[in-house]
Amino acid sequence: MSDKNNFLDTNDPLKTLLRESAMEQAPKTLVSNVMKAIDAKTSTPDTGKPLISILGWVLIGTGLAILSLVSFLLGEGGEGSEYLAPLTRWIGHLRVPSGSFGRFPDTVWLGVLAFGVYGLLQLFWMKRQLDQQRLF
Amino acid sequence: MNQQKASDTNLISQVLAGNTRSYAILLGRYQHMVFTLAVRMLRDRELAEETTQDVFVKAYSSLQGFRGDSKFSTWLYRIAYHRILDECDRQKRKLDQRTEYSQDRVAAEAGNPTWDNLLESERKEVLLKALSLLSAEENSLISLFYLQELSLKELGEVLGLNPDTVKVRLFRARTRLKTIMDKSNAGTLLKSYER
Repeated sequence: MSDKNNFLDTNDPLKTLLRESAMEQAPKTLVSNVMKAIDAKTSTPDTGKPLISILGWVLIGTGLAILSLVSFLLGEGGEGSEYLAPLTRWIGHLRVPSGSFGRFPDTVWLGVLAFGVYGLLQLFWMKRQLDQQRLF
Repeated sequence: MNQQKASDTNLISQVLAGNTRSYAILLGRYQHMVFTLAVRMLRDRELAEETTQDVFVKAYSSLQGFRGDSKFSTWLYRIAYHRILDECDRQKRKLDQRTEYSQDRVAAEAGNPTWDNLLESERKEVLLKALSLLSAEENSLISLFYLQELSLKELGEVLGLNPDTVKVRLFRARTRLKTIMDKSNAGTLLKSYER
């Protein structure tokens, strides 16, 4: 047989030989095993862990609250101390310095805002990527 | 409509409508071919069975992404080929370490001058040993072209190659298989099929 031209021939003897000898029979349990796996997959609710757990959000929130409080207390003057005055009186010995958020240029706040939005977008993107990976 | 005779497209629609049982029919149609491809490429039946299961579960998960641009079989074989190839890479170290039949060993074991004297099971064994000497890609080309009768274009879609490249690689794979078989006198077997 001139292989170069005839190997695509449907009467190729190799094809006959392969069809007689090289075809494998899948195990009889294959279909049921796959269907069991699919049933388990479809009946199980999505148990994917959130990217940031509840504890994570609590820690982030606490961190932000502490950061805000520290900024407030270490800031320059302002009315903030009045809100804490009853608390300090109640505690008695605790002396909280007067403070405020200080004076930052508007560009700083805009920068922080932009950075926050960007960070959130990154979180959503990462979550999407991780969810897709979990599928396969 | 008789479910067993329903077209792949009808079955897919039923599966997407929530009838998972229809998927069992599709599975029954293609299980042997995907399993054969896995066995040929991985050379390990147990691993091939696991991988075949993974392929069908993954195909089920991705079924909504099947747009019908190509035949379902081509789409399925593409998933199978890439999943099996991943497994080949994962097992590469183990595969490299396993005891392989060398071409000479195949020749020695099949040193019988007349293939007519060989039992069918022996012929099959020699052919399978010869196939085991081919690479995973060569085996996939041979299996999909000769057993599943995919066209060069469809093979190109499965392997992500241009049909001309597929033709060249298929020719090389076939030549290599034939050379191995000729070395082991199995070439006479091929000739007996030409009669």
